[in-house]
Amino acid sequence: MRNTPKILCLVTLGLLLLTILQGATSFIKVKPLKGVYVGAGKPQFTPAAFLSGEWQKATDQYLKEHHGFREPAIRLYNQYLWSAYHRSTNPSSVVVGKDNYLFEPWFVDEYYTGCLHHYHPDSIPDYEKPNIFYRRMSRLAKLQAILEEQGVHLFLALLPGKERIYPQYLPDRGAKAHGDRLRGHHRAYDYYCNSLYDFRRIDLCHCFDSLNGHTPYLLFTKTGTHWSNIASIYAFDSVMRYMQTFGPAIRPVTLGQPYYGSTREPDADLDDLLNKTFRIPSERNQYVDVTLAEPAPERNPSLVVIGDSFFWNILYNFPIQELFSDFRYWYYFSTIYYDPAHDNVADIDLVEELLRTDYVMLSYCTVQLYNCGNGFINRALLELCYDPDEIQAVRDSLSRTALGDNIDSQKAIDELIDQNLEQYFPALAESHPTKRCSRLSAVATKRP
Amino acid sequence: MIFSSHIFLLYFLPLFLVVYFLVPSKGRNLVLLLASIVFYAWGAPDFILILLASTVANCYLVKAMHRTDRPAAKRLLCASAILISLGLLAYFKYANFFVDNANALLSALGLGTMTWTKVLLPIGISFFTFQSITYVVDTYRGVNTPMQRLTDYVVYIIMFPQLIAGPIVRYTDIADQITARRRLRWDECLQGFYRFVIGLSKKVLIADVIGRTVDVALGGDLAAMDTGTAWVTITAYTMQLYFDFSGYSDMAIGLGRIMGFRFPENFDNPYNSASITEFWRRWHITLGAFMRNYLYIPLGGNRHGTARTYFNLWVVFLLSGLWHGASWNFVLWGAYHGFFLVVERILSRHIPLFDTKRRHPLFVLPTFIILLVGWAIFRIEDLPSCWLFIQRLFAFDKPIFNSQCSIFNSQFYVTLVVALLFAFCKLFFNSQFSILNSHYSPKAHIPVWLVACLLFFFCLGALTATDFSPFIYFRF
Repeated sequence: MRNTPKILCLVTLGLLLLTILQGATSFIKVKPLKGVYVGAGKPQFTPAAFLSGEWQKATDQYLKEHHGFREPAIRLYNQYLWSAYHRSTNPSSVVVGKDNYLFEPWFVDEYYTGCLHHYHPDSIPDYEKPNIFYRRMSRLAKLQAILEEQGVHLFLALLPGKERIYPQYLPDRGAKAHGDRLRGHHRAYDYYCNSLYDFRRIDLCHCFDSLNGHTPYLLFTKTGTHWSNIASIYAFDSVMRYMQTFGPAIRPVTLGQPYYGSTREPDADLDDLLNKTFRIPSERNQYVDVTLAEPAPERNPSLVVIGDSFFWNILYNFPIQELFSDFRYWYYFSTIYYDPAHDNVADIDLVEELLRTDYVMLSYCTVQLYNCGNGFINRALLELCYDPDEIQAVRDSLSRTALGDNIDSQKAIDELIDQNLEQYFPALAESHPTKRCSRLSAVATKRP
Repeated sequence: MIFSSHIFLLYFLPLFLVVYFLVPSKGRNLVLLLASIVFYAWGAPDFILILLASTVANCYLVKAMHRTDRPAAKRLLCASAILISLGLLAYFKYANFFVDNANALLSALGLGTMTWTKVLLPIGISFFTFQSITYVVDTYRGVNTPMQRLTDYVVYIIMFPQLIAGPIVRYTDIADQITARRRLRWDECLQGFYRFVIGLSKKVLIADVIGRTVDVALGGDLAAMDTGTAWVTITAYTMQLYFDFSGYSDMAIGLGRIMGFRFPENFDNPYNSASITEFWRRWHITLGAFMRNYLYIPLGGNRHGTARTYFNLWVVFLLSGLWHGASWNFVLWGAYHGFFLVVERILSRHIPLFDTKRRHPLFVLPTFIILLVGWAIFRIEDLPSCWLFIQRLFAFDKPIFNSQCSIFNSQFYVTLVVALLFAFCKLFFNSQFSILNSHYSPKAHIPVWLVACLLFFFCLGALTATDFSPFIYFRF
């Protein structure tokens, strides 16, 4: 017992050294933190960086993100914040609503102010935003018609957000914070419904509205942001039936009996994002299993999905690559999944990719509707109707005349083109704009 | 490098301690010196050579001063050594302030302005300048002989535990500990660890939490602030400052103790003070002692009549304000405190109730309110904004507290209440929060150590989790 202080000192020091060792080798497996973030890279030492203090700053940040036992330390503190103050430990991504219902902040914004206010909050006046929205919808209709001529079936699947289904659980604080914006706002969905443009679409919002409160399972889970796994399965089953009303046959699937199971990804994705020690107690979720059925069609159709993260639920639950022969997921029309040849849409030949596809599905939740396509619609229209050198000529002329020394000129040019697409590319207004495009004919003739 | 950084807590400190404990006691000062150089160079690499050069110069000047028997030469060498220290302080800390004010004056007179490249303030310069002055003056006064070895002197000046934020350790208080400190005692090391963890907790779990909200409140529209919010904000800032600064001192004292040093205490429940005079005996004690020994007494102290005493007192606090920062609000803050000290002296001479030597608990609240207003001056550098904030404190428009617009959340309130309880606990409990200085039996160490380890890990979580806000998926 006399040696207790000595032992405790040595154990303390040993624990600190263990932390260094853990940081360097991760020799003890700990539950990783959930969520994605841009981490600090390992700083490169240079005398100049050291003297300016930049290297030290970067090293501090790097070590903060890579020290030993970081994960349990964060989880412990976050659990304290949650248990003691009922506070979101990640307010930029998670808002706590009533009865511990969790929401992403932009869904709360969508409900209280409409997402047109959420995007470009300052750069574009509010009265101009609906026009941008309508322009996008009209281009979508045009693109759909062009692709249909080529045998490519483009359609929009519109998905509801959690705020639409469970507005009673939204936090009051959101209403207070938005103040005057609450008066007379319109949500993207309102504009969408008012849109007179005719294009092929499946509106799952209405479907979810009618099911709300009448299903034995949850359409959205309490602690997740996306539709529940089970709701997404039933929804995509409907989407596949809808697709076959205008396109090639898809192999049927059988949906099993619902059963209760322990929470699966991503049904508690917002709770996971709080990175606590324990999950928020909630009722058990139901699940169904999806199995392939007969008869299989002669040829599985190909599918490209462009959309937000709601489609991940489908990928978790459906044997997607056995249903579609050539499936590609162009996530937010940026990163590409399920395509071994490409990682990013910047690297693809869009015309070629589209013309070898049977179905192109734009899958967006109402909150993302304002950014529907994430640039796909404009790019597809241009590349289907204009040759690459013509497009480049317009871009070059814009960068010379309109933008001068703008630092982020590529992005600025894209925005300028988005606002004035029909002005810079007048052929788009013609009834058959693709006729003039030699590139399209060249690719089309190569099709099997 | 600061104590509440990951690089310090998880890398620098453990590795330093391993080496420090492993080397024989004769080599420990050298290890401490090298570690202190690394510690300082991490934050101010371009200033470390200037710091070392000035320290070496001072060391030899003081040795020469000690050797000479001629009083004039002694005075000259003493003045030169002080001038080097104060010159560096004046240049690095006050040159920008001086040039800005001179330019404002020249501009007002229509005479154009001076061109000037802003000087960056080296971290900790105010503290090591004062320490080197205590060395020079104490040696000059014959209180101590100078250090024989250069490395020992440099260790005294740049020893990393107290290099950045004190406490200001007088040379006489530590000279023997540097040259002949006892061999390591594990019991002392553990006590030091506990003290360090308490300091870290004060900083991370109280000061930082409150501070984030205070920054938001004071960064907003002060003209629109209601009176209730203004009072809560300044009370919170008062607590933030105390827990931040005293926490840092606790960490420094704890680290010193781990290494075998005994640094002087820097805080003694200052907000329990029943007068401003008492407050300055309890707040930043080592600065108060420095000001008394090296400024107030040389100015004449109270030996030249009442009026001169008041003048000396006021000047000391004016300069003390300026020491805290090169800005007019700090000067005003020093003058504000000096004013109340003089008023208290006058009142205590004539009215027995106000005798500052006899503590009257009823005066704790008015003293605290005076301090709150003082901290508003201290915190808000821009004088018109400061005046606006003080007006909001006493506006009492209705509603006094507009809860609809409140920026305060439950974590803030709970932390503030905890801070207030700790800050005022001595009013209700006679004994000091005893964990700081208790000597534990070997058996009693185990639960305290467990709590300390848990707190350390918890603080680490707080430091790491604060800026960690991942997304579910990347969006584009």
